[in-house]
Amino acid sequence: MKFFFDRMLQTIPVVLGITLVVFSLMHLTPGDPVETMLGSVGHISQEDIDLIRHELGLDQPLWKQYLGFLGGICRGDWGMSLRYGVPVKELIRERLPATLELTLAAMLISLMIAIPAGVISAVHRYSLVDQASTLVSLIGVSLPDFWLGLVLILIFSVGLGWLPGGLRLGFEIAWPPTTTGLLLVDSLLAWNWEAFWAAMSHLLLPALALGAPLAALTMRITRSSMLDVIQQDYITFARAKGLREMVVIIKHALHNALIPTITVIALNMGTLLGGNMIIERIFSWPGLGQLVVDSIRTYDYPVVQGAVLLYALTYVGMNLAADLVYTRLDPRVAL
Amino acid sequence: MKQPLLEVKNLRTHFLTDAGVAKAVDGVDLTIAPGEVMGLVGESGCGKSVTALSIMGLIQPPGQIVDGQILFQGEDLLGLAEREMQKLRGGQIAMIFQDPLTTLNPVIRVGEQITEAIAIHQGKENMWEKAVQMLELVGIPSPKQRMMEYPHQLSGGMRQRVMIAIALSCHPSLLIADEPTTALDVTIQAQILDLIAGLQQELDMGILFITHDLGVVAEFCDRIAVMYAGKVVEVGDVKQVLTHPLHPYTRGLLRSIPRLQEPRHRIEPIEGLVPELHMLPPGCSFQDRCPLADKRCTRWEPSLREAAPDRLVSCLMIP
Amino acid sequence: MELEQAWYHISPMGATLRDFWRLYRKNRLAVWGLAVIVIMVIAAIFAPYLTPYHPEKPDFTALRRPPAWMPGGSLAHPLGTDHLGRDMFTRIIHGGRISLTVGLVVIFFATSLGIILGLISGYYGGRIDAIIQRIVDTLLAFPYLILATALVAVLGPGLQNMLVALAYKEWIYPCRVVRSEVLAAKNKEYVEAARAAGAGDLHIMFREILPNVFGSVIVVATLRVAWVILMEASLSFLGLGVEPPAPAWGTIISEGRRFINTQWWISTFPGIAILLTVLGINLVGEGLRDALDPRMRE
Repeated sequence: MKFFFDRMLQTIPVVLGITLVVFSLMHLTPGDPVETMLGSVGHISQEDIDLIRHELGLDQPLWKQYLGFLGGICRGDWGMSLRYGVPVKELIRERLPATLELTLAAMLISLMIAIPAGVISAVHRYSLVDQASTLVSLIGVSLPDFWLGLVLILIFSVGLGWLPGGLRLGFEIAWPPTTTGLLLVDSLLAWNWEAFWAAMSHLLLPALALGAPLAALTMRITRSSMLDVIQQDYITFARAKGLREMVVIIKHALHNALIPTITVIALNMGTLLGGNMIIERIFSWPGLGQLVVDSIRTYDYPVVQGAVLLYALTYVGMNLAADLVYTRLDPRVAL
Repeated sequence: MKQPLLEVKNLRTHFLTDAGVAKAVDGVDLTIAPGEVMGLVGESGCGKSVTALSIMGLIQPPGQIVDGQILFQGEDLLGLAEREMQKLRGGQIAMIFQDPLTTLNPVIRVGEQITEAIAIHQGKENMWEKAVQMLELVGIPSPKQRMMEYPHQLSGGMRQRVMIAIALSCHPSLLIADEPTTALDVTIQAQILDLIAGLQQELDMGILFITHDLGVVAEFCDRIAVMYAGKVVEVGDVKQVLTHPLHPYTRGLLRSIPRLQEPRHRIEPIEGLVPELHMLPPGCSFQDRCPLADKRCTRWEPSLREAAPDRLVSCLMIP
Repeated sequence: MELEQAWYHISPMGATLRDFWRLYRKNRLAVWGLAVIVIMVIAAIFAPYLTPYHPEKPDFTALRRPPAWMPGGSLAHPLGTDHLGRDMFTRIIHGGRISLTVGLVVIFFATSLGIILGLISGYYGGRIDAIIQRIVDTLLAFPYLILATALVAVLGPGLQNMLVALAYKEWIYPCRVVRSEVLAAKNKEYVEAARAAGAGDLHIMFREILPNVFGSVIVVATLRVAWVILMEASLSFLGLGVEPPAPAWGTIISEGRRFINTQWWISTFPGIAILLTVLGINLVGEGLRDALDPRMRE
C-alpha cells in the first residue's frame, strides 16, 4: 500500500504540469485568442472583444488567470462552450458514455485476442502460428488506425453488408432508457435484446479498428515476456513437479509474464485514447473525440481544453490503476 | 544383482543451434541402485545438468534426446507418453535445483507451491497438513506461518529447504540433486547436506548428486561418475576413485583441488580448455589436454569398460 | 560483456560498417524493410520525373478512373484517378515526400533536443533531473494525437505548425533513452578514466558518453520516425496537417472517404503506402537494434 501511496504522491506534480500545459494551450495562439475565435464570425466591435476578454478573464495577469483556471477545475467549473453556450462539463458528460463504451470494448477485444496470441506464440516459438501472429502484429503496429477503420467498413459494411458502418444504433431501433449511458448495459438492463444486438453490431467494427494497434503491441510484449519467463528455473521446477504443461504455462508463467505486460499496456493507453478521435470520426460515433475535432474546427477553446485535460487525467488515472493491478500481481513490490 | 533403480544407457542429448549441433550429452551410461547415492562430477558445461534434465524428460527445444535408453525400475522412460511421465515426475522421480533464489515462483505463496505438487500425486486430501509436515521435516521454523509467505520473504537457505520439501513431498525413490548447495553460504551448505543425507536415510531414496565439489562427493556419495565433454569417463566406488583415479582426467581433476592435510601439495590446473561441444575432435574428446594421449587417441573413440573390479574407465591408454 | 564494452569505446558505432552489415543482414525481414524504404525514398526524391502528371492539377477528362486491372482502367493511370481526375500513383509518390520529410525533420529536431536534455538529466541528476523528468512525465500523460491536434488547433494548420506540434512531445522519447543509458554509463571505467585525466563535463558528456549511447539513440530515432509518419497521416486525415490540394497520404484517404462506396481505390492505396512505409521503417529499426545494440536483443 505504501508503494501505491508513493505513486499517488508522485502524480501530483504531473497533474499540476498537465493543468499548466492545458492552460498554456490557449495562450499559444499566434494572435489574440479572442480574435482567432471570433475570426469566422465577421466584423465585431472592439467593445465586444473586450467584453469577451473580460468574461474569459483574459485581461488579468497570467498567474492570476492560471490560478483561476486551476480553482475552476477543482470546483468543477470547466468553463463555458463558446459555440453552444453551455458549460463544458455538460457537453463532456453528454459525450463521455459513448467514448467510454467504445474504449472499453476496444480494450477488452484487444486484450482478449492479444494475450492468448502472445502466449501461444511464445510457447510454440518459431512455429507457423508464431510467425503468422508475429507478422500480423508487426502489420498491426504499422497500420494507420483510421485506414483500418475504412477498410473494415469497405469489407464488412459496403462489401458484405454484415455490419453497420457507423453510429451507435440504427435509426430504426428505439433507444433503451438511459441509466449508465453505455448502450450495451442499458439495453441489458431494459431487457431489450433487439437494442442490445444492434448496439453490439454497431460497436464491433469501431472497437476492432480502435483496438488493433493496442492488440498488436500487447501481443508483442506478451510474447517477449513469456519467452523470458519460460526460460526461468521456476518454470523447469514447476514442470519437475509433474504439473501439466497447461498449468505450468497459465499458472506459473503467465502470471509472471503479465507483470511487465501490464506496465507497457498502461503506458500505451494514449494510443487508445488518441485513436478515439479518429475512429469516432470515421464511424460517426457521437463521443468525446468527435467533440474535440469539431471544437477545434470552430475554435471552441474551452471545450478543447476541457477534453484534453480529461484525456490526460484519464491517462494518469489508468496508469495508477495499472500500478494497483501490478501490486496485486507482484507480491515483491507490495511491501 | 537386483534390478537397478535407474539405468541410463548410451544417452545422447543434442542441441540443434545456429552454430551447429552441440552434443551436450553424447553417450552417457549410468547405473544407480536403490538407496544408493551416486555423485556425478565434472566441470561446468560437461553435460551434468543436461543429463539430469534428460532423465526428468524436461529437455526443451532446441534440445533433443537423439539416442539411448533411460530405464527407471526397468521401464524405459523415453517410451512413455507425456501423461505417464508427468505421473512419475515429482512423484517417483524428483529434482532439486542449484539456485533457490530463482527456482521458486516469486508470485506464488510457498504453501501453494508445495500443495500443488502433493495434489497431483497424492490427491487433495489433507494436502495442507502434509505440506506443513514436510516443512517441519526439512527444519523450517513456524511452518504454518511460512506456508502463507512468498519466496522473497525467506532467506536463501530457507528457500532451498522449501525446494527440498517440495521435491520430497511425494516420497520419491529417486532424487536428482543438481548442485543443490553451490549457491549457498558455506555454513548453510553443510546444513543442507546434512539434511539431504538424513532424509536419504529416512526415506531410502536413490540420489543422483550432481556437483563439481569433490569434497562433497567424498563425504556424501557411495559411488562416483566423472563426466567430461558429454561422456562418463570413469565410474566406481567413491573411495577407490578418489584415492586411485585411473582416467587421466580424473587424476587431473583431483590434482586441481587444494588439500589442507598436505601443505606442500601444489595445485595443478588441467592444461587447456574444454572443447566446444559443437566441434568435438574425432577420437577421444580429452586428447588435447591429456598428458598420456598419443596418435591412437585421435583416431579411436574410447568406450567405458571394466578396468578393475567395479571400476569402469573410458580411456585407450589404461590397460 | 566487459570486452564488448571496451570495444564499443574504441569504435563509436560499436562495429565497423562491415560488421554492422553482417549483423544487420541476419534479420531477413529487416533487409526487406530496408529495400522498401530505399524504393520509397527514391520514389519521393524523383517523384516529379517518374510520372507525366501533376499531383495537384485536376484533369476533368479522366475523373474517377479505376486501377489498371479493373474493367475501364488503363495503364495510363495504373492506380486509377481520384474525383478530380488526378493520377493516384502520382499523388501517392508525392505524398511520400511530405510524409518522409515530416518524419525526418521532426525526428531530427526532437532527437537533438532529447539527446541534450537526456545527457543533462542523466549526467547531473539532482534537481535539474527531477525537473526534466517531471516535464517528461507530464507530456507522457497527454495522448500523442490529442496533444498534437490541440496544438495545431491553436497554432493553426500548415506544415510548419504541424512540425512544431509533433516535436512538442516527440523529444521525450530519445530523452528517456539517453537518460537511462547515461545513468548506466556514468560509472563505467572509461568515464572515470576521462575524469581522472581532467576532462570537463561537456567533454565527458559529448565525447565520452554520447558515442557509446549512440547506437540506442539511432534505434529509437528510427522507430520513432515510423510513429511520426503515422501521426502526420492522422493529422492530415483530420484536416489539420498540410492543406489540400497538397497530396498528403492522410488527406487523400480523407478525401476518398466520400467515395468509399464506389471508388474504393482512392482511400485504399494511400493507406497501403502508409502501411508499407511504416512497416519498412519498423523493420529497419528492429534490424538496427539487432546490429547496433546487442544488449537490447531478445
